[in-house]
Amino acid sequence: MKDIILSMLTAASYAVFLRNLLFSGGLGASEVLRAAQRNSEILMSSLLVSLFSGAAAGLCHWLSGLLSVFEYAWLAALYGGVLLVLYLVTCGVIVLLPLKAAPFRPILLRRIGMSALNTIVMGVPLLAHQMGESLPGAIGMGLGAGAAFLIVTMLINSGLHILQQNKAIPPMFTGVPAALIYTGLLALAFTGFKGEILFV
Amino acid sequence: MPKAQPSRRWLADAALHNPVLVQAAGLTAIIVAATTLQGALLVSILAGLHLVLCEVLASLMKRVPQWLRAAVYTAIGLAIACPAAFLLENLMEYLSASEALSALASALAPLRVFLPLMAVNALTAMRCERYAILHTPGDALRDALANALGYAAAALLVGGVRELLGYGSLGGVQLSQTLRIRGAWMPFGGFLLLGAMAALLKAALRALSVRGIYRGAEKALELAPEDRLERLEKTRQLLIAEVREAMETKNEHEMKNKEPDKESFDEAVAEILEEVDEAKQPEEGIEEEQAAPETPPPRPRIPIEDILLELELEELLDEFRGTEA
Repeated sequence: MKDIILSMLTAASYAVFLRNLLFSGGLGASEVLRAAQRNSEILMSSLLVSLFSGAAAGLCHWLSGLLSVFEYAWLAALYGGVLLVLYLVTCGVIVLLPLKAAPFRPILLRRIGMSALNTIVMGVPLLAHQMGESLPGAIGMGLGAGAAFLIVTMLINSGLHILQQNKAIPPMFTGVPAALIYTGLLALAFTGFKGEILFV
Repeated sequence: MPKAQPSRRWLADAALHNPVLVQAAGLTAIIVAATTLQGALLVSILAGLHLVLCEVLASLMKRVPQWLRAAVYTAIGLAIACPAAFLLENLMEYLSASEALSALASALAPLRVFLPLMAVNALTAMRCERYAILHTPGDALRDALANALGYAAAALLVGGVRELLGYGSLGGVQLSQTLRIRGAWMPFGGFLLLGAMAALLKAALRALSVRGIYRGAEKALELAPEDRLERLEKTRQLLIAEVREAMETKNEHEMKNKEPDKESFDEAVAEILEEVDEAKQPEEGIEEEQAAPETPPPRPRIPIEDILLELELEELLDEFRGTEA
């Protein structure tokens, strides 16, 4: 049991710090920028990313052990199919919720669509397979993806608030340009964690 | 004001509504995969194909629930991206064996890992849900082509600059042996470059519209009032249809003798009616302008702000869909 938890924590830490899927990998950039603009969505989006990544990574690891798929392209197709099935089953459950929960149905369905079908959630199982992670490691990487999403989105959200209030920013840099440059600087900081050399 | 010609509207949409530099959508593919010109070209072709197919299909799937449409977009993306990745993987062996094409092989090598992830391109879902489902297949196709053009322009620019700075080459042709900035092809380099390009585009569009340097571009960049009215009318009709649907849901509750959640329902209806009223306001402004022909011609409006006003309506529509009862 200790080994399983340690494996999960190691993989999660790797996904958050050493190889941050968003800053070092570039995955989910559009989703992160979109979620960072709405305070109310950050926590729920992160939780959903975490759940879907973990579940998809676990299922994909188990399936790839059963089926002998060697070509990367068809493995990716299989993983994409698993994610689609997971998404449709989740939506089906929500649609069949009792009538009392009906007011929350559209909000949940919309959030799940954005949080489940994105490059982070689809990238985690592929990355786990490439790194030869075990089942606990793959699930841990999925959970780490959600934690990374939360950290990154909160960092960008707080930065956007400061940027919006700063009147000294020239008009040509306000809005999307400032957000992209700010995200780039944060990504540069996380690249430093990897010990990358910037100039050959 | 004459209606904008379709060809100019494509250019206007590609620049003013640039999916990458203005709407900040589909960034992942450009940041991760567009590190060379060849990579950017491949990414642009796949993204464009995905966008065109999904937008035309979405315009025919108006009655399909939104959550099911999202699954369809992803399925189409997988059907495009995974065979492309398979073909690329097999092509790599042939390219690597050839001395003349080995440079192309090394440029495309990073893409075979990333290509399947293009199945979940955020740009496709965004354009389908914001535009395609509200318009005819013809309009959806036009929008898809315009956005694909804008996406390709941004991707090729970014890919070209990153290849030049990172490898000292352009399109596989070595231009400099000494220039090597590794950070150019890392994700942070992509973000910084995109931010700089977005700022330049914003400055260029403001200069063109405010100074009136190029009247042709100004006319091309502005949507005709009739087009704006049409878009606002469609948005309003959609909102009214959703009010009717909300009222029918309330009747169902009453027929089943169940206590509806009155407070949240009334709040949702009030929000919808507020949005319908807000949707009317720009139209009234345009009608007042058209009713006063003797007044001196207005100062050139900054089209960016007009377009942002319309985008805010679409944002409101998105938010409403997330909060309806």
